[in-house]
Amino acid sequence: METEAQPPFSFRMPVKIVSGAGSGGDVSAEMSELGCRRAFLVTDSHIAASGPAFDKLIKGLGPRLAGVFNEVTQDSGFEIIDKGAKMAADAGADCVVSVGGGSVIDTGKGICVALKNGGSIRDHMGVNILPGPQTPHIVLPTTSGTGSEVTNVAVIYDSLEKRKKNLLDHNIYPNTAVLDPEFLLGLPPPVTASTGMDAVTHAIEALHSMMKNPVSDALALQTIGLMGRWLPVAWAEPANIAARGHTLVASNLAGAAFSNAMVGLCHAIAHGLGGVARVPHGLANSIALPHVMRFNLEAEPKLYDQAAKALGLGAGDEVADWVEGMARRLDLPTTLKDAGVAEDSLGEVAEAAMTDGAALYNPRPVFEPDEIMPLLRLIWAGS
Amino acid sequence: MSQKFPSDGWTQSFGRVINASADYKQRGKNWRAGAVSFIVTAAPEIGMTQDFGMFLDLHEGECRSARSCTLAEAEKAPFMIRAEYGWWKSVIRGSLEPVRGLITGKLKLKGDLTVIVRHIGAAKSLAECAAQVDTIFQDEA
Ligand SMILES: [Fe+2]
Repeated sequence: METEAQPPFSFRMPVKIVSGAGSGGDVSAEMSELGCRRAFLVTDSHIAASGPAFDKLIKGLGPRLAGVFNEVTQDSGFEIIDKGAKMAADAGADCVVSVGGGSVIDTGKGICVALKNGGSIRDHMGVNILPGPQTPHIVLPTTSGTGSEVTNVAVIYDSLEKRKKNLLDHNIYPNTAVLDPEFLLGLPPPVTASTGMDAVTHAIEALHSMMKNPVSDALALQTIGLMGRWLPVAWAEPANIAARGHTLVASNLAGAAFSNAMVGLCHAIAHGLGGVARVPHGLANSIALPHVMRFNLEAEPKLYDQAAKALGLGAGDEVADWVEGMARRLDLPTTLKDAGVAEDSLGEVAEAAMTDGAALYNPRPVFEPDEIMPLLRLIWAGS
Repeated sequence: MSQKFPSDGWTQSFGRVINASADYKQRGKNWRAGAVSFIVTAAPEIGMTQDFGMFLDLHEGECRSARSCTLAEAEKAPFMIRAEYGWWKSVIRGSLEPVRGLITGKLKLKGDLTVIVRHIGAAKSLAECAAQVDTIFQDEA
């Protein structure tokens, strides 16, 4: 008798998704649906100067555009959010429209909270303490990577304590994600590659996380199938709108998967590498992922069988090779050594990784920095 | 002696179990982030008509004081965790791991999650201490 029961789970995804080339021109209609009339646009200076898709968005908003805030930086923090929230309040905005990558979207989430509750975003940091719906938020991602348009977390830099903090709350899910591939047409190949590998990592980690569930599995498997087929095309042909559309949807699915299933040791290591050695997030994940997968396989040999099947591969361990092959195809370095990381910084990376929440959900439990040092040396030198 | 949860007596017993725990002394030795308060939200269906607050002054592996408190006092702690009675019961019984409870929205934290995660061992040890308190649950009394 088969007795293996499905463990209990819950899955949340309250974001409306609107997808299609040119959909950025219809944001005004999405505002109407949310009962909003004055949009405060949050972006960075690069995107604000980026061309036709952005122009179409501005034209579509017309008189409903209350103001534009283009001062978001890579590690956006409390001060930037507070400044944006004040400008939004002064402009009489009743919703926020964020156009950009993860940093812009997370800043937009922070502005929504500060605008709704008043005071500084500093006063509202926590986990699920916001009392109810926040300022309506429409998000247009401009990379196919973070999936932040469908997550309930904002990563915010605290310049006083010099570290990143998380605002995690079910009330900061954006209301609407508008997936318009036209915003991605100018993305340079190295950024396409690293952000795309971040999304692949979200999917793989959602598949191996201790919080995995059948819904996140379905989304993650669809992600790796789409990325396997279309990421190399988007990388080789930056103006291929079909490839941009598929990879944008794939990163969105991966976002919905990992915001419920969480991520694991690979992200913990990537966060450590980001903090200690300034390795870009997507690249750090891309380099570490195959090694983390092999590390996990030693404890759970069937861990990636589902993924192997979805990719048409024979066995779970071939999925790690598939990830590494994908990185090579996209011309990304596959060792930390090649990415310019000093070997003597690995101890510090291990310390940082073990204090990161993501490590808690890894299927092969790790608690002490020493336990991952051999793994980090492999990631540094290559197998 | 058995203590009713939640109550001032239960909170004090919890403090004593923490201070008797070699595991907490070790895993909590680096905790210097300040006091932690817990709020059990009102549950009229079991006769709890008001929120119940508990205040734990934790420092370097030691619980310097443990007592019930008002909501205003609880708010002053750098970390305040609020949850419904049933979820606290699950934490105390060991069926709900505290960080998983936070991520899934069953427990609500006012304060910096990254600090809690950095001291995950201490947090787990506290939950294990709570499980050791000789508890009579209010709805089972
Ligand atoms: Fe990521």
